[in-house]
Amino acid sequence: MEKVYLCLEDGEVVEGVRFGSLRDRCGEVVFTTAMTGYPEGLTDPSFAGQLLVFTYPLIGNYGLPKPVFQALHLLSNFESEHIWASGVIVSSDVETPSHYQMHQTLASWLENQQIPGIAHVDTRALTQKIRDKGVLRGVISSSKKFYWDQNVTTQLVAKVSLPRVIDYVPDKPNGTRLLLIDCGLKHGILRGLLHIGYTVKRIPWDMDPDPYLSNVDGLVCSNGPGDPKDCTKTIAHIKKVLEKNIPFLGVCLGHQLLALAIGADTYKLPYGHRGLNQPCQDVLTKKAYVTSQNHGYAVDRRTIPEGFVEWFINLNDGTNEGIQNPKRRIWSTQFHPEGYPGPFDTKWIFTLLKK
Amino acid sequence: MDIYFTQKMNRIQKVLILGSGALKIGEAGEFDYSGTQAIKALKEEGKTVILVNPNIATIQTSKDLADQIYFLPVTAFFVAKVIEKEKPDGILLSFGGQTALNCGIELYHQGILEKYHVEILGTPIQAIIDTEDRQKFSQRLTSIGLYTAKGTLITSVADGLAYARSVGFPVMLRTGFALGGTGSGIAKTSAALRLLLESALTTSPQIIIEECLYGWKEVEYEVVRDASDNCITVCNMENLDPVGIHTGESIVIAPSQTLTNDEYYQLRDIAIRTIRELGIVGECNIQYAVHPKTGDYRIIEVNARLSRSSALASKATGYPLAYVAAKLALGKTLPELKNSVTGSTSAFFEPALDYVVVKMPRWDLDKYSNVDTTIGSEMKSVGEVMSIARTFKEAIQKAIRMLGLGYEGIMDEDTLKESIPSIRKRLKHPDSKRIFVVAAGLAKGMTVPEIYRLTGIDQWYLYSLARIVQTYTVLKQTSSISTDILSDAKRQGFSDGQIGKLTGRKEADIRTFRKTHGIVPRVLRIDTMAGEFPAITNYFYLTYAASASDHVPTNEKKVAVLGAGPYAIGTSVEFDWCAVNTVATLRVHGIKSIMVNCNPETVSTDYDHSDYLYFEELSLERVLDIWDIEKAPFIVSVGGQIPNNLAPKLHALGVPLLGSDADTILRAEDRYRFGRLLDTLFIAQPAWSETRSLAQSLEQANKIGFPVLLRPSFVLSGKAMLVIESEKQLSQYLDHMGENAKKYSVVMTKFLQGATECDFDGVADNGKILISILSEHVEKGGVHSGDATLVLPSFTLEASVQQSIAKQAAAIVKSLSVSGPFNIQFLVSEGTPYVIECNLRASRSFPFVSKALDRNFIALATEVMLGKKNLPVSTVRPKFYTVKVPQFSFRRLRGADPVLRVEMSSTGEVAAMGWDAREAYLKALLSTGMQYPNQKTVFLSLGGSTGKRVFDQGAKRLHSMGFTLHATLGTYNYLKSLGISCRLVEKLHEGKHPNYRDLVVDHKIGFAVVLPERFTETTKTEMSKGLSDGYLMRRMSIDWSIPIFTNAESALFFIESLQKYPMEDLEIKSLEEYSK
Repeated sequence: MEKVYLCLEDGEVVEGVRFGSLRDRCGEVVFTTAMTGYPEGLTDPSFAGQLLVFTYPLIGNYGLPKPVFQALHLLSNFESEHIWASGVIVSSDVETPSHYQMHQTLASWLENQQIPGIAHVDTRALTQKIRDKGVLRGVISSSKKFYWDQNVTTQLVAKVSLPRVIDYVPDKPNGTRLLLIDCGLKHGILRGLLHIGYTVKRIPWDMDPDPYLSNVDGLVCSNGPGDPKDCTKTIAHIKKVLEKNIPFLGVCLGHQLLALAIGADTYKLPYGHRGLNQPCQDVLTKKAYVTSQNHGYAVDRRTIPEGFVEWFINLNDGTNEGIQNPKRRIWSTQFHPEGYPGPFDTKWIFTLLKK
Repeated sequence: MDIYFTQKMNRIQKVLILGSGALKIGEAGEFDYSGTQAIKALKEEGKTVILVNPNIATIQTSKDLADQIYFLPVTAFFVAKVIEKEKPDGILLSFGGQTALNCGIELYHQGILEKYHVEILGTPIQAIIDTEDRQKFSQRLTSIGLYTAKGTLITSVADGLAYARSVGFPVMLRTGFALGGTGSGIAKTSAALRLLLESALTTSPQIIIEECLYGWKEVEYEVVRDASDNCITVCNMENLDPVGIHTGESIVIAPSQTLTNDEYYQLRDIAIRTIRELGIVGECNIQYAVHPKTGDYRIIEVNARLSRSSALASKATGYPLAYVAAKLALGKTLPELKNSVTGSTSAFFEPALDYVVVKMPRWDLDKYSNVDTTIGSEMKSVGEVMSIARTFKEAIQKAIRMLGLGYEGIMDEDTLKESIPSIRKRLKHPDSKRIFVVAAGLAKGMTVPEIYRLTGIDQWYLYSLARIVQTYTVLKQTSSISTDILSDAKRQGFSDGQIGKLTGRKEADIRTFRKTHGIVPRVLRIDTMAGEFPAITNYFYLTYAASASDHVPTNEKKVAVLGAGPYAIGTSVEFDWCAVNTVATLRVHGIKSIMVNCNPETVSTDYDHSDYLYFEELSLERVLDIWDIEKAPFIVSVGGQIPNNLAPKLHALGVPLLGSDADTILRAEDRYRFGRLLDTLFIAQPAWSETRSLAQSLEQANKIGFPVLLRPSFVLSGKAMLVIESEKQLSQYLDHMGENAKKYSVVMTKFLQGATECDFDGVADNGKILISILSEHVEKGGVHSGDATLVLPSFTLEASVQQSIAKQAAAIVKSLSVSGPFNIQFLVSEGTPYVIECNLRASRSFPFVSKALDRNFIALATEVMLGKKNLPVSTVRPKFYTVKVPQFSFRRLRGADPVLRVEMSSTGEVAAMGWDAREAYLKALLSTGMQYPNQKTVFLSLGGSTGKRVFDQGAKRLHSMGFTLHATLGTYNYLKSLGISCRLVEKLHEGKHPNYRDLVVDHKIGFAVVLPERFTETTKTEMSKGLSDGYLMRRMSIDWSIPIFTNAESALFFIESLQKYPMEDLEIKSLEEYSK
């Protein structure tokens, strides 16, 4: 077993056993409390630039399935075409997975995608450290020295957004046409939209949607990695779209971008929400939902401007989880209604855009 | 939430809770956990709580919880009377298992609830009925597009056979309204199906034949829903064993290990759709079969109540399901409630685990004769353990040690000796040793796919087990032990003892070695959120897969209490009551309490009962680990057998123990030393002797005089003791033992026939008795005290005898300088008391005497152990009788002979009160599920001359009461000779009619008395495995639910009670009213 180290910016060096790729990689160390869904999680573009700690101690149990494309650049069983996390930190990586759909092991997948993994780490101690001190920068390395590569956390959305315009046609069209801004789209969102019957045009994060607006009935802005304030172009585009009274739905980063577009503010959470068990309550109806989340930034609820109201709040820490302006048919959620991984109790939110 | 609903809830002030009665197979202590949490939740809301539960050993029937406690049968007849008297506003049906649920359904059907305006709180009755009725259940779920197993309702054997032929064998037979799958099973042929149907149709009004899902994965979810339709799933669990093996018989893992995210969340979604469709409010459990190769699923069943699984899920996640369910039943919503582990976050969430939980059943099948040891769709296990670790490997090895059966892990040397063909056979027909058989197969080179084909156990688990086997082999071949190998082995859950054995070292040396190299387990906290938020509770486990501890011990004044481990024959909820009360007393005195236990079906493992809870092994190694961490003194005398056995070892290693010192314990428990002590005190004891080998025992036996009680130093098929009546029988026994007879020593004691047995329970401080009480057994000596009927106070012994017993007890306690709890057993023969045993620990009867006398024996004992001075001395004389009756689970144990013997076989107990012992006895008996005889017909088969002589009074009395007597030939002739008319019943094996079977099938028997030929018959049966007529008749009575007595004294006592008390005359009074 080859030794490998997780070196943190505060000088702590955690020893572990290497699995996956032999490369060294830098990243922000964040944790997820998801107990299932490592294939979905690792391919979620929102994890770009991050070293992901799994708090669940056994990771890789069912291996990885063979990727299945249901359309051009759209997978039915992964959340994107690559692993976007910079590295994987686990207590035990399961060397003997078993599942009828298994195609390869976690270690071989990481190796193929050139992503390093470190096992035999006390992930609970590490999680508690992040909880107490906030997100830390780190490097998975063969040497015991911390270093930082600035490129890892800059221009993230530009890296993960697909630079193409693609049209998707659902099996059973419902007559509503949507424009989808890909800021690092989780394929689950697109699958969810298609499942309902929307016809979807996917465009890159920085493309001006204006030319398409006359032919769509609504706009969706996807999730994505990093600080929302870096996406100045997208924010400007959303502002313009809203002026034209086009129905809008933002998810995760899309929610934060909407907030910024209407003049609200965002801030960085100390250690984010990453897990499948986040409780959110509809402020108006008092109905509560278990949600799937992956975000490091949040909308400052005190800055929500007039005309918009808080839609959901997080029952654990009271942070904002959604805003809306139903009259103008504008909605956004911090959580992921589609699940993948996790619960999809709020997938009805996608139906709001129906004509 | 609508206003009407809120108003309705505000009206509810007085709530009736139904308990589950005695511990039995299928319904164990988990309902003490759920009921206790429910009572707490109700009291928090300011409600008045009325409890009906005859289980006197439970925590929920303790003072200061419910306002009124009725020790009465949980049946519609009695509960209706309680309702009439108490006029509660609401009733909770889902906290007392199937017993409470069935009772509630019957009360509803009888219109009692409507008549007295009692609101059913929580899940509506229709939802309960629909989940219990398989046909309706299936229809409702199919209507919303969900899949249940294909099947049909059967009302006759012929229909069943026809349907099975149409869908093809194998088929699954299930019974509605039955707990723990009684009567269900898989039939591969029509002959097998016929047998199952015949038996099942006698007990269940509803039989379903279904497509066979054998070999599919079995997965469960615990789902919670409030009245505002907020839903969560608290936990999912996966059975290691596939469908076909009852979940109570399966090793269960939480969370699931082999499901992908899609599978996990699809099943979760279906669970929520199901609970919404059914309209459940509170908690329910849903079980699925999942096809291992396609992911296809079937909903197997929904339990619309707290269950064994929900207790497990509660302990596995830290989410207090029963408490929350009770709050929801009162109309609270989930978002309103806080997560009580973090104290800050919401109760509306789904726990994230950062550890693996393994539940393992504990079987005690060895304790019965003739019993079938295979496991399947019926539950046979009597208890369970739960282990927590950071890998499956560590968790499963810990779980096996927690069983307290002497196994060190998955590798069992005896099973390893078996041949591959034999292993293959046992893999195909699983029995209670299955995990060891799987490991042995792997060790012998069988491949994972082959074992998978034979067992259906998911290969993920098999690969993990194979890895342990591999390490076992490495250790066996290692001469020098490195820190790498050691720490790897510890991460995989190997014990120091096993590592020592494999590498030729002492356990203590391994411990020292690893401690010097810093290989020690760490304390991790269960916080429900995988570290995302800090927790305010101290719910701990130990693991080697961590580098830092969550817990830094403080220097507070603290005491650690060792719990009882899994429920087993002989260790039931009474020891949990003791542990919980000990901890409560520590808290009263401002001492921090540390609880160590590993049984998820207990109240002691609720994290809010102690200051620190270690959900851990009760092994020497682990207790020493906890000692190393906490440095707190231990109380080992309140948890029964397992902690008791650890006491001398802990003492020898210098761990401080509170209470009577170790040497005193040895003086009481070492036969020679105790014998000498009695001699010096001039206290009589039955003659006894110890011989080096069984072979030499003949001479000694003759000296002592037959019959003798034989206690070999080894265990023969689980039985350590037996009664031998004659020289001839002893020689037969010796022949039967063969070579073993020479190897083992044996203790023989004179068996005093017809002697009255008593328990003398008390608490002493430095040799002075502070409180004590004598309880008398109904059955004469020869029946294990745990299987005996106890009457408090004594009801036949003369005052002078009672005084002399008290005097002798005082002398023993004084000369041993007892400090703490004690129990002395006496036999009274011809007016002379003989001491047979003395134990310096809390006995099984402590909750019984404490509640009957309204004095908390264990609290007092704890105060003594804490060194409190000037504790009061009190004498107690109750005004009423309390009678404790054992609960047997013979019906669950196919083939087991329901005869009472010197070895214990009951699984639980109940008690009831009355102004008269017979009234109390009758109420207690009915509390075990026995029917009040519905007709005046009795069947008598009185084996041997003793049985006939002892029982002739009973026969005469029955005759005078107008009973029709049916008897087998010998008994028939005997009764005729006494001038008692009766009808002849032919012996079964002779093939003539009418025989007993004919009477049973025609429902012609009110109750039966089938006495064995004293001890001879059972002993013979055990030796030869032959089946006597008596055995067949006893077994038939059990299988057809006919009240049966196999002991003359209890039968007589019953007949007297029957004569005096028609069912209507049994008084409905709470304990509080009796104690007034």
